[in-house]
This record gives sequence, C-alpha cells and structure tokens, in this order.
Amino acid sequence: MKKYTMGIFAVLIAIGLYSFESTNNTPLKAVDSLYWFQVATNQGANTSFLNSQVTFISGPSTIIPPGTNCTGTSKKCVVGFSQSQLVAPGYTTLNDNMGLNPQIPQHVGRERSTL
Amino acid sequence: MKIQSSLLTEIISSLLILVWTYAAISKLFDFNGFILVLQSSPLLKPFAYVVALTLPLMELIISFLLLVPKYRLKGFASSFYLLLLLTGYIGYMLLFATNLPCNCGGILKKIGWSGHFFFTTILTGLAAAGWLIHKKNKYLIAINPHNGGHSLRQG
Repeated sequence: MKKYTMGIFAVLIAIGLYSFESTNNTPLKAVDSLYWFQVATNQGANTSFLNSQVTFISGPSTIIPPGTNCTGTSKKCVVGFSQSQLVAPGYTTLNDNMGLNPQIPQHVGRERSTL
Repeated sequence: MKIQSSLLTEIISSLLILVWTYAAISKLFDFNGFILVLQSSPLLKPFAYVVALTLPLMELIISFLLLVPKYRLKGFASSFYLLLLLTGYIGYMLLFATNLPCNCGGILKKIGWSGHFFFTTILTGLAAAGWLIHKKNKYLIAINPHNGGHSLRQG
C-alpha cells in the first residue's frame, strides 16, 4: 500500500484542483441553441455581420464556445445566429456559413476589449 | 543511487498522474464544451466524437499504469508518446491554424497556446526521463557481497 501513496495523493490533488477550478468556472450558456461564429479582427463594433466578417466555430448548441482572444467586455468576439439566418442564395439552409445577407446576431456570446 | 533514482521516478510518475487525472476529469465533466472545442479545430473536426471519448479514457488508463509500480514502465512510455502527439498537435495549430480555441483547464487557460506548448514539451521531457530511469532501475542487477556474491534482480 505504501508504494501507492504518492500516486493516490496525486489523484486526490487532481480531484481537489478540479473541484476548486469548476466552482470558479461555470460554462457560458445561451438561452437558445445557436450557431456560433468568431468575429474577425477589426469587426467587433459591427451591429450586423457578413459571411466574410465571421468564421464558424460550432453549433447548434446552447454552450458558448471559448473563441479566440475573447477577454474583455466592449467589442463582439463570439456571436450566435439561428439557422433561419444562415441561408444560401438558393434558399438552402447552411450550418457553417452566413450566406450572402448581413445578419444581426441573436446573441453576443463573448466580448473582447479591442476591435 | 538506486534509492535516489527510484524516488525521482516516483516524483515524476506522481506529477504525470496529477496532470493526466486532472486533464481527464476536466474533459469528462465538461464533455459538451470539449466536443465544441474539438469541432472548431480544423485538424480534429472529422474525429471530434471519437477523440472526445478516447482521449479522457486513455488519460485515465495512463494514470492507472503509472500508479501501479508493475505497469509503471508502460505508463511512462504511453505518457511520452501521448505527450509527443499533443506537443506536435499544439505546434501544428500554432504554426498553421488561424482560429485557436482552447478549453484547457486551470493555469493552462491563462498561459495560452504558446505556454501550453512549452508546458507539454517539458512534460514530454519528464516522461522520457522517467521512462529511461525506470527502465534502468528495473533491469539493474545488485550484487550482494555479503551473500556469497549472489545477484539480486531488481524491479
């Protein structure tokens, strides 16, 4: 049993660390299940977005993905659109593309400080 | 010397157990978030569900292998190969990916991808060192001069 002591202690530390971390880190969730996009650099102040200004991350999901460099509180960083907004010119619904028309996000999932 | 090196492997294996267990727990308890991150990775997107299921399982198995002295050599070897793969993946993402999503837990969230690369590189080195030292210890033959020179196989 003695030879397992350090290993078991390491497992207990890992569980303790995770418990401590998880209480300070609840995942961000949206009310609706949306398609999440990363907003391109310099586009964070926009109200609506074209396909060229965003990059698909994931979805549909209520969990807001982390995005890239999303630290701050003033500019859009990760935005969510409903599937009805993701429509191609031929009226085909898409999952990872904004289509041609500019769209206003249903939800701003994460923000950053810079544009 | 033998005592020192076995203490060293004990410390390295405990450190790796800590890292693997923490990594597995954080992935399993935030399973949906982990899948989302994998789906947003250009390299892993097609295998997101397979990786999401197998990676935490592998991490737990490696922790178990490192915990039990009998299987520790295999634990070090598996740790080395998995960390090498992870370091390669992070390196590839740093060099070629435009979007770098990360749901890494704890301190890794704060140090970013470059810090993560540095962290896994050090762990890969530690796993390799643990593997070599443990292998050397396992096959070390000690001669006891007070016992008619009989050899005692260690390990």
